Amino acid sequence: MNNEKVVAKVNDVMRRGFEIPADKLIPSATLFEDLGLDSLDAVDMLVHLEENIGVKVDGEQIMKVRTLQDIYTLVENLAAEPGAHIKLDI
Amino acid sequence: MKKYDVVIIGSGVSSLTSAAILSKKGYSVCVLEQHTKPGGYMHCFSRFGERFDTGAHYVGALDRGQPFHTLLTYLNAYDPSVFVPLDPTGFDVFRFPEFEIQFPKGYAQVINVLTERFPTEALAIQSFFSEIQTAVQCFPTYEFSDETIDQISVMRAIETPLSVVVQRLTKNADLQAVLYSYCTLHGVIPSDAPFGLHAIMMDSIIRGPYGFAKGGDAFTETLVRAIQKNGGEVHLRKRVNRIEIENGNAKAVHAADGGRYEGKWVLSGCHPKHTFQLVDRQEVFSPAFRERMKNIKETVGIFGIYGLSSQTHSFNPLKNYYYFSNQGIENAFNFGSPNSKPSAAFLCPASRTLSAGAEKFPFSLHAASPMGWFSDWRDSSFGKRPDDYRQQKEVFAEQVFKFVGEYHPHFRESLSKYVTSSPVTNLHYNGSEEGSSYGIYHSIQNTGARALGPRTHVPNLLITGQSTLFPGILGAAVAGLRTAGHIVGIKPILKELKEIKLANGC
Ligand SMILES: Cc1cc2nc3c(=O)[nH]c(=O)nc-3n(C[C@H](O)[C@H](O)[C@H](O)COP(=O)(O)OP(=O)(O)OC[C@H]3O[C@@H](n4cnc5c(N)ncnc54)[C@H](O)[C@@H]3O)c2cc1C
Repeated sequence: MNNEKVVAKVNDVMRRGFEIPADKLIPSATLFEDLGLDSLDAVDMLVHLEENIGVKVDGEQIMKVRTLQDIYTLVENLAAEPGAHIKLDI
Repeated sequence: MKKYDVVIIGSGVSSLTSAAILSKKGYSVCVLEQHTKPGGYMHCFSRFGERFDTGAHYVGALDRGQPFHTLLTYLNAYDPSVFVPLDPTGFDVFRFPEFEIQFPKGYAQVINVLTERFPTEALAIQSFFSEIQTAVQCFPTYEFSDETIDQISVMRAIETPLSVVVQRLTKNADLQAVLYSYCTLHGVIPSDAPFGLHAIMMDSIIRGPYGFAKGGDAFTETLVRAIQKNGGEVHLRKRVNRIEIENGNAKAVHAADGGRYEGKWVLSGCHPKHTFQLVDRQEVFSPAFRERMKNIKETVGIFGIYGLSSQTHSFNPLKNYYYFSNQGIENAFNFGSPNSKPSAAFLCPASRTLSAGAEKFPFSLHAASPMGWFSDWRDSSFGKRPDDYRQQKEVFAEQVFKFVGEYHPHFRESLSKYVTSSPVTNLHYNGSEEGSSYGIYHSIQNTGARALGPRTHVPNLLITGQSTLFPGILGAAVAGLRTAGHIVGIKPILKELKEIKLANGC
């Protein structure tokens, strides 16, 4: 079960950052095929996400991301780290 | 209308390097430069009967077979008369309040000098320089190897902060300060600086330091000649004001005088922020990308003093002089007001061929300064800026003189004439938004996977320049190589470069 706040935040970041319609933002959506991003967008997404949630993401971890669900999991894991201060307000 | 394979915006070292490679490979290229002279930061100017350089004081890796020599040889742009070897017994003088140290040429020599000064740190010194030498090996566009890249070593070199390496090796604050000195050449503080980037800078300088015998302009000319010999074109006074997009691709480049230049590729060596603003359909960029560009940090702006002293103050024309306060390099780019002393300054003899008994000494003197001190005059016209701008410059110039005067007591009185430049001047000459000296802030955060270029969101628009790889003349040249390699294929070029390197005994 995903943390609702995380899902809402990530979806908001994707919607605003890449103008992706809300109905496409489902957990199984693949970034490249379904959401139409490319490898350059993936870097922008990483930076955009970091700036919006206020936490640095390890470059290697982001390489492994394929679907929106992977991003939710990544952010949830970051939020669960001791002392993490993740901004989840929209 | 003539169509080109590649239309190139700007004529800094990076653009000219790309143009020289592409034209050598048979591509038709057209370089468009806004100013009356090519070269970007290689510009020289004349005052008081002397020639002054702006961004060309010295370069490294120029001994036979070393990376810069190899690259210039490959470009047919190596002219030995353009460069002058700096003093091998001590080419960089680092002055700290309590001590001074000079770097001689060569690793063994630098290690000796440092070990003499810091005898208890011998192991740390040895280890640091051996780590530098190992780190540079993993960069194929520096070492010119065509073998498969060892990604893990590259990642380690660019994701480890300089401060982590130094603090692991030594707790000696003075030695740390010496090992951080070259941060002034990339403008990134040690805790943000990728070790690999710092390693390339140090390696190139220690192995083969050269000054410019006839200024940066003469160097630019060698590149322009090489391009023209290959059939390439370099047009001056062509300020690009638009990159025309058609179906998501760059179709043509428009100059302010109405000229339109079509190219299969458009390549820009201007500051990336400026390049992206030129794109006439901003919707090709996602809001996330636009936001990223807006937020991306810049390196420090720079303040320049170009003067003539009636005394040589025992300056040696074949040395460069760095001055540091006790404030520490970590704080060197945090600014007070223009009415406070800088924490670091760099003095470079304007002529490398001064005779021993000379009665005047032309020099340039630089210190970091933020655009914020001068932003009131950002939109005023070059050459017509008002008096209060000049007064503001004077305030900081006096502080810089005071700072250098702590090391050379009669420095201020010995000055007969000088002129100054500010970040606003840089903005005029290079279009770098904050008047930054080294483009975007080359922190770990902006390097490696997160670095900009050479590809952009417009498939046939590529970027190059010091912001894309690493700063400095060598950095810009290597960036130019990498971007051209994106068009013609980098591997065959690296193979040719390797052959030149081997033929020259390296
Ligand atoms: C004070 C100072 C001292 C330095 N000293 C050294 C040194 O000693 N050694 C060293 O290795 N490095 C030094 N550097 C750094 C080095 O000069 C730069 O890293 C390098 O020259 C940058 O080259 P570039 O190709 O990235 O672009 P730039 O030199 O910035 O060139 C960009 C070019 O694009 C042109 N341009 C911009 N917008 C447009 C437009 N719209 N249309 C047409 N043309 C346009 C500009 O006019 C300019 O010619 C110094 C820098 C500074 C500021």
